[in-house]
Amino acid sequence: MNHFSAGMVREFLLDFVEERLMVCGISAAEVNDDFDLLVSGVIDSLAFLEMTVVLQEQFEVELDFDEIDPVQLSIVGSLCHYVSSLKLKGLA
Amino acid sequence: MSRKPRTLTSGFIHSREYFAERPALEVQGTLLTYGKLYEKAASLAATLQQQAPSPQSDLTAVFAYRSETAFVGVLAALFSGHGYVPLNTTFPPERTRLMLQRSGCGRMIVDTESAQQFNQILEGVSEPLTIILPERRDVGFLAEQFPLHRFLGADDLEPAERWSPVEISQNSPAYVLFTSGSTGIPKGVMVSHRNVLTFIDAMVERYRINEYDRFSQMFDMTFDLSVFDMFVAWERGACVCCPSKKQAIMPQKYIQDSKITVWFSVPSTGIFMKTLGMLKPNSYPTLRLSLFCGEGLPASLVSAWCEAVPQSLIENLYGPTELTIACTLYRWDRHNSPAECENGLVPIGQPYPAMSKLVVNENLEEVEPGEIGELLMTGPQRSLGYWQDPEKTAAAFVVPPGKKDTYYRTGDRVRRPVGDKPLIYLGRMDMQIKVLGHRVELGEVESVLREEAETDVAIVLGWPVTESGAKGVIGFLKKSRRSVQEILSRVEKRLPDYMVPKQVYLVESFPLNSNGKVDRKTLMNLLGSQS
Repeated sequence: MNHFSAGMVREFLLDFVEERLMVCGISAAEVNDDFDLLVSGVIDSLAFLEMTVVLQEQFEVELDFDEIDPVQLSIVGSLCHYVSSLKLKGLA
Repeated sequence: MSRKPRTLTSGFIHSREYFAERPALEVQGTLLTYGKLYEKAASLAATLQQQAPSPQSDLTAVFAYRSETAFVGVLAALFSGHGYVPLNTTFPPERTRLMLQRSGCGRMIVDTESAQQFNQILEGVSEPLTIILPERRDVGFLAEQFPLHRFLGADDLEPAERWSPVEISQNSPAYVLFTSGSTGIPKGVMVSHRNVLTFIDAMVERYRINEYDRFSQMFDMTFDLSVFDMFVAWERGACVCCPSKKQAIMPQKYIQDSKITVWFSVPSTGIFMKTLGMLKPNSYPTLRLSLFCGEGLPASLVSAWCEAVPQSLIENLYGPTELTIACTLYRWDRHNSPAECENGLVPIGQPYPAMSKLVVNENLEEVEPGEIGELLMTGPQRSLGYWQDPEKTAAAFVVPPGKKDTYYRTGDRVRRPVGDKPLIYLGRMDMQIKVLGHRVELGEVESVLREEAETDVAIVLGWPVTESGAKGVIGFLKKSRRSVQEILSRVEKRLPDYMVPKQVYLVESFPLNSNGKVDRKTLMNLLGSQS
């Protein structure tokens, strides 16, 4: 069992992009599971890389970039699900 | 017989003659050979010439993002004899409109994605524009919606054969790029064909670019480093591999899948790759050249990059847009370079062959070797100045006492080298502040904070601001494995009291500006709003 749920990751993500959502005129309610953070223009690729760094630090996990599908990675639902499925760093 | 003057696209046209069947561009999953890209650009250029004459301006706007139209548009604008003005869909529409209006462009090339912003961009534009959407057949509804402007679509494109090359002066602008101005109004930097050709010649020679090279394309076109990606590659028949947004978030996969040989990015991208475990030993066998530019390059990143790409040359490039892309460079040497780094940053090296430097005090007089001052530069890469802004041009482009040439004031602080030592970048001129009367280098505090927090980025600002400087300094860090208290007690042992941050804020992330650099102004505003 993990110590956090996909919902917690989602909450953290929304918090991270809150300001950008406002700039783009998008409400948090519109960010459903199919919402794509990159394609929607909410964040650019550099900010996305930064967000993954922050996610890793916050949830103490390591994303495996060799196994991730880049098409899925920036979609909110699959990203949250993926991060919550990872094991805590240091645990076998 | 007189020869036509070389322009920014001469190299591309030359490469098309030699390498018509070789790849020139990979974008959106499509490969365009030199022959194909030429044909598309010539067709669009012919359309501009035949159907969109623009006597009132020498500039054409390209409003397109990481699409075929973006690259074809840049070439077509230049083929038609105009300079290009890149616009960016990821910028706030209001800023894009301001850039469009300030440039005075009478015509604009637009891709499908960017056209979605027409409502916000065109509203308030009072001069009629000719707008070409080469990807769209149905443009009639746009003409109805925006009757002031004329719209041309895919069906209106002229055949490539109708393009007639235009003879233009090397001193005319090849592009106008808008950089942020301190007043909040973007400044347009005019870069001439002569400026950029000098840069390109230095680069293709130094790096021995050839038709088998494959260039990364990490920079948006509104960032002048993108000019390197396109035109240094095309000068010698190489391929530009433009990643989609999805590819750009996984740079390691992009470098591997696209078999990149020439990598060019801001150091921030490398720092993220390092943190995300993308710099494993020997990860990128195809890379032969790794270039960084745009912000200070941490030595710790270069060490990690060396492990990941041991066969690659690594160079640190430096230069403001006003001096055409980059004007000094430094080649990393794993034996000697670590000792030449200062504040944990890699030196910016020596001026490009055709450029000369001057390190000056506040009276614009040269300082002694070993002393610190503002970096001024001159030479054929010094740009034409600011678009329709003689006042700002006069303030930044100056003739120092006793000199004949006009120099550009970079606003960057460097140490004047002793002998043949490299130039060391010490931060912006405004990074040196007075704290309670003491002169403080914010860069030095940042470097100590970075080391003690064991992190790649630390930002320090003078705060609260006083008339003569600041009362103290405040730091911003990302989460560290050490506590703030522990970090500060370590910093206290290394710095005088007035340089020790009164407070350190832990931030989840740093606000970045549109070029991917940490936005100090936003941090400053944050402090202002909290007080």
